[in-house]
Amino acid sequence: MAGETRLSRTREGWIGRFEAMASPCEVQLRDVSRVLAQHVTDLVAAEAWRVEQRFSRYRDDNIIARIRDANGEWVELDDELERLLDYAHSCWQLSDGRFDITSGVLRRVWRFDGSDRIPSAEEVAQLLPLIGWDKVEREQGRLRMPAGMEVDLGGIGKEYAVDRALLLARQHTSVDLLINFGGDLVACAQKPWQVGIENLRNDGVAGQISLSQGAVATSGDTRRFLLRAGKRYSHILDPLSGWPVEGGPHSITVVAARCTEAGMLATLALLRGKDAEAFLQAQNVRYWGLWD
Amino acid sequence: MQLKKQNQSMACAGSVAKTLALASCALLGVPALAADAPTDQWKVDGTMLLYSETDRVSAIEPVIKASRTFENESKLDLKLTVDSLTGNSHNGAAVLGAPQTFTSPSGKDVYQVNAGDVPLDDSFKDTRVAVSAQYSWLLNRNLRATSGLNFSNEYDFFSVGANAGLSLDLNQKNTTLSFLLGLESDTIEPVGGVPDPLTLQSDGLRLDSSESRTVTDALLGWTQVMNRRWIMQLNYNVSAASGYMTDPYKVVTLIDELTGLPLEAEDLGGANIGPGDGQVYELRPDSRTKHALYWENRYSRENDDVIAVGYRFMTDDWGISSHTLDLKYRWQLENGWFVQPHVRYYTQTEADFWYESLTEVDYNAIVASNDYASGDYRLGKLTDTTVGVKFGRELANGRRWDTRLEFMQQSGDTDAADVSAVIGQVGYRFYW
Amino acid sequence: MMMRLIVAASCLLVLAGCQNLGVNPWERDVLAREAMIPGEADGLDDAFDDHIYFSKEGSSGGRGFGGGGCGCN
Repeated sequence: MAGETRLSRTREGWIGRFEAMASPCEVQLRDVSRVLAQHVTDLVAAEAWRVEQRFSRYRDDNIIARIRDANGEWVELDDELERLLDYAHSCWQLSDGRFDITSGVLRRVWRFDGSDRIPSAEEVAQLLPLIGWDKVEREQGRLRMPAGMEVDLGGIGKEYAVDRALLLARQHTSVDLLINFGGDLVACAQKPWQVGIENLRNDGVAGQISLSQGAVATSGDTRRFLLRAGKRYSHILDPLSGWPVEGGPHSITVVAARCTEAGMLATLALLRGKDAEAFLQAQNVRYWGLWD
Repeated sequence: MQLKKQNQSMACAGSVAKTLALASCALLGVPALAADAPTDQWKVDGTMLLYSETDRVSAIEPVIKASRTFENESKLDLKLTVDSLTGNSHNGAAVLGAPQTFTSPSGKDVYQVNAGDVPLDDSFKDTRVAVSAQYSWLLNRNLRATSGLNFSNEYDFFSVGANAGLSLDLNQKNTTLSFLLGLESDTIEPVGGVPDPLTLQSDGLRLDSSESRTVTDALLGWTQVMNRRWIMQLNYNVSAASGYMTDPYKVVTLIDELTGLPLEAEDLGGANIGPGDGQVYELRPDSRTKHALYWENRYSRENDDVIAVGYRFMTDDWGISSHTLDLKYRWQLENGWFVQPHVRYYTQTEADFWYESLTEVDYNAIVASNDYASGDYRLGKLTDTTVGVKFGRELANGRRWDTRLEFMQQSGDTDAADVSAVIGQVGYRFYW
Repeated sequence: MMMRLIVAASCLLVLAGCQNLGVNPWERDVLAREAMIPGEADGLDDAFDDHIYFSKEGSSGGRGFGGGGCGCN
């Protein structure tokens, strides 16, 4: 998955840009030479592309495809995927089953394209047997699940790539860094970065945060929904029912130590629907939510 | 039912965030997958040291060290050192206003030193070959064992040592406690035999052909990560040596207490080999216990420059205590270049039995009371200053070259202690 | 539409600062550099220096075992 990186000068240093995971990505660096900025950008981009290639559900040549096509057989896992699955398992437990990486099959009937095509109750019910992390058998180094099921790391992958990229970049330099993959970002700097929280609905600014060590991630998408008979169906699907979560915000932005944490807190909050805010307040985290 | 569940999760506020923080640590806290340096290869460090004192000793010391970390995180270090020395070495005698006469280490030849000159023995020539191996392995996730062997051989000296230790990681590896125990056994075979201590060198009295000593070392170490940029290490090292610690090639000059000029051996009932031959073989205690406290700090500045400060306090039962201060500043430049200035300052007090020279009365009292005497300037009061600079470059694939140049100046209470030396070094590291 | 901005006590942000001594595993970036590892930062220099000064001074040890295996002192 080769791509290219572009470097341009900023007031305080350099910014490297590239495309990955269907998002514009950037690395901001302060007080560095062009050579180092290019080197760090290349490292970060390579890591983003690596994670995308390994765990994207849109490819036929990676481990995610092998698991999907295993047809009920055991599939060998590597260390990195095992750690990701361990993490997904923790999130599944924490959410009482509402965060489930096997729920991606619901996309076969739910297409959030702004239209009014709501699936029938039968269509949804037919898919439910293919959903459920508890149906997945795991042993050391391998995994098996019923034919027709699949795993989708889309809810973790981008934030994971951001955190990984920072780890790698940090092995090469300790200059001020900000790594931003399509709005999911992490900062590590002596002098804080000013991060604006955008309101995508009206192009306004929802807030601003000064970030020196930490991450910001957003879950949800204000543009993806279905509208039928005046009722808005959010794209946040509850894997237990197969239907959209009701009464919750469209998107939530959370600040945490790492991007994976921030993203998951936002996702878990969305899955709680109308209790999203109470959940976030109980977690003692800084957040912004976008409601109707 | 629904309400009950709700209350439960609200009861332990922030618990999800805390669990998530731990889970994401497990996901990301592991060492990076794509390590910089190759791990399934030998790391090889080849270094050549040149050491040259003005008018005295010169040494060439090539060292090759190979290290490898295996998949189970065990680690093996192998090291080969060759140390070739030539030149003139202070023989322990005082610098006096009259000529002095000595015998060569074998006792077969005689040499004279002019009035006012530092008495140097010019027959100093030796090659040392040393090999060592150290292996360490994990006993469990936080406990590492280490064990090593080392041999060193030169013309008149053979040493074999073994060590074993444990190191324990605590507090998420922010604290490491280590304990290391070492045993060393040395055999000394002086050229011409072991001299009879405190007898006249001109008589050439020899006892045995060889002597031995053993050294037991224990080291307690505490390494502490203070914060993201600062790490500290504190070591306590106790070393107990017993056996032959005397330098068989060194003498103490006997002087006339009125004139300050050297006595003649024949006036003391010894053999006459020339003017100023009133020199007796030195004698040191046959045990020595040293305690050393070492404190090292490393701080990385925001621009990646590193400040390293080392301080050591040592004290022993010979009466020597010393302070050593070692400062380094590593300038991290572009493209892997670095420059590192270095300053070292050392000062010690003299040993209880150090004498620049002895009067006949002193000498007789020492012999009568089975006491000790040495004129070796290294046991006298001493102050050393070293300044130098090292520079080098980190290259791709973990390779690195560096070179350093340093100047050392010693000074003490006698002219014999005035030594200046140049240290030059080139090194190259690669993976193989 | 309702937009809310809540500034909660952001403990996670200052997570690194909350610890008394030491760092979290993912904050070892700076310390992982060779130049920050006592005993490894200067390669063989420490061993050379220990050996040189062991043979020229009355002290030894501390950093490791004192320069032994040499008849020079």
